[in-house]
Amino acid sequence: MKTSTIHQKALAKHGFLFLNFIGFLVLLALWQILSITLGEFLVPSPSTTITTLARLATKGVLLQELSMTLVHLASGAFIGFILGFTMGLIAGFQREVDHIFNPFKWIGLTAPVPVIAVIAMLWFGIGDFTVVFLTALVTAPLVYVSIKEGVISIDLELMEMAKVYKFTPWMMLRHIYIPAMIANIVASLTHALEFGIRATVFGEFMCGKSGVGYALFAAWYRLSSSEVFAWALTCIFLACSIEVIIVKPLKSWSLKWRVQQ
Amino acid sequence: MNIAVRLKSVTKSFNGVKVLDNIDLEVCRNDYLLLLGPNGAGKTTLLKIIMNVLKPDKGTVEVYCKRISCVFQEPRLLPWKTALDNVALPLIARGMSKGKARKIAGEWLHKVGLQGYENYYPRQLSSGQQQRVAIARAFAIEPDLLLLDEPTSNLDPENKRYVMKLIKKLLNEFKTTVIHVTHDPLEALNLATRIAYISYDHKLQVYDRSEAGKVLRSCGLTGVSYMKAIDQLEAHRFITASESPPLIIKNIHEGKS
Repeated sequence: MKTSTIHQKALAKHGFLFLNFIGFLVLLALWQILSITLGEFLVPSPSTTITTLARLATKGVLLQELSMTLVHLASGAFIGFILGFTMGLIAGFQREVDHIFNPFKWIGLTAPVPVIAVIAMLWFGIGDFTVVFLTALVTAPLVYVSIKEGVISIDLELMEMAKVYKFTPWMMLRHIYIPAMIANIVASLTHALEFGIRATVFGEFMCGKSGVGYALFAAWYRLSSSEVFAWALTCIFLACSIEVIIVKPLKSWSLKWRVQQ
Repeated sequence: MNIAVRLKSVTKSFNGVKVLDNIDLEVCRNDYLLLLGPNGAGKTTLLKIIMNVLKPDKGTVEVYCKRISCVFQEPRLLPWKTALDNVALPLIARGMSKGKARKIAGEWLHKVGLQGYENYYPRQLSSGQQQRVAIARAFAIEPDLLLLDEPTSNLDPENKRYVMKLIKKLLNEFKTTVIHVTHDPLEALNLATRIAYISYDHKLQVYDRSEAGKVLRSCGLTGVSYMKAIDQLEAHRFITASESPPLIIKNIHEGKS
């Protein structure tokens, strides 16, 4: 009985993979049809896009711009995470501070990314710093909200117990705060990466001097539609890779950890 | 007199509602103070003030004990730590090496009958077993003040009996000052050296063990429960049989127990 259930699950999984593959083929076919209908300039065919991508890779441009984007993302998300984490911890423990931080949180969460990008450009001009600043500013409020909720949800009774047994601040952090907030920490990290990659590419497009977003802008400026499609494909590939390689495993690990507790 | 805890004119309110009103209390070393009273009278608040988790609005609290431990109503174990680590952590917090702390924790788990459960997580243990881990944790630091905050109130009758028996056994081996909060006077009457009663008006009265009969009446014990308590007290020569009031006997006859 148990074996047959596992077998059914495996079949279902393979079935889904097969359906995904069919969907991918349909997308490719639609792309090819559009390319034939509208012409290579407006919609370069899949083969032309892949050839362009291969050319960019051979010249080393693809790796160079990809690595720059990853540097922008890592620095921006890291700064945003540290900023949001610290503010979230303070606001979680001191509810009065939470009210002081509220206006910043509302602006950070509601302001459209182009608005922040334009202001950042006005202040810092065009360059790497502006991109990192934009990414940090987009990710920090998301991390802040998640961490603050985590602190609020810590079991007060456990904290009382720790106080009675004279736990040191380090022990409190290591044995109570971090384990109790692990799901929120993971959620904030994944938010930082998911939204960070979009902000980074957008920032590079608007106010960067390097990175995939900037390369996309340069290709659009030169009216090189095959390169535009090649860089767009790279952006999608990058966002998907981060989702599959980092975000999803982190999420499932955190869920599994929570269920085990 | 060797004082362990002294409270002077302690008052505490929550949102304008008075929970403790001008409480004076002295607990001597090796005393077993049974702190009784109805739900909401302020027993746990008083205990929290003694353990320095809450600050009083008025009055002074003097605690002359360095190693304070508490068995709470709920086990309050860290769900992400094993039984062994839960017992070892308070020892580590007091500067003991991890290895030595784990060794001592293992010995205490053995004493509470949980040998073989060292690597179990709280979710893998029954509520009675979890409370036994909490008892091991409380005794492991060799407290000079042990606070028991209704340690059996969340347990079924069988586990209740087992846990109280265990606490009594451990206290026979290890003498310490105990403040035991409960609303069930039958739980530890035979251990108490003094009995304190917090009434609904949040005032505290302390009785000597010879006055236990008065306390039982304050607790509103009637009928069979009262007689059981009297039997228990008589067995431990706390009071004389003449203290049982006729009114209560009448209740038994009328079947109001």
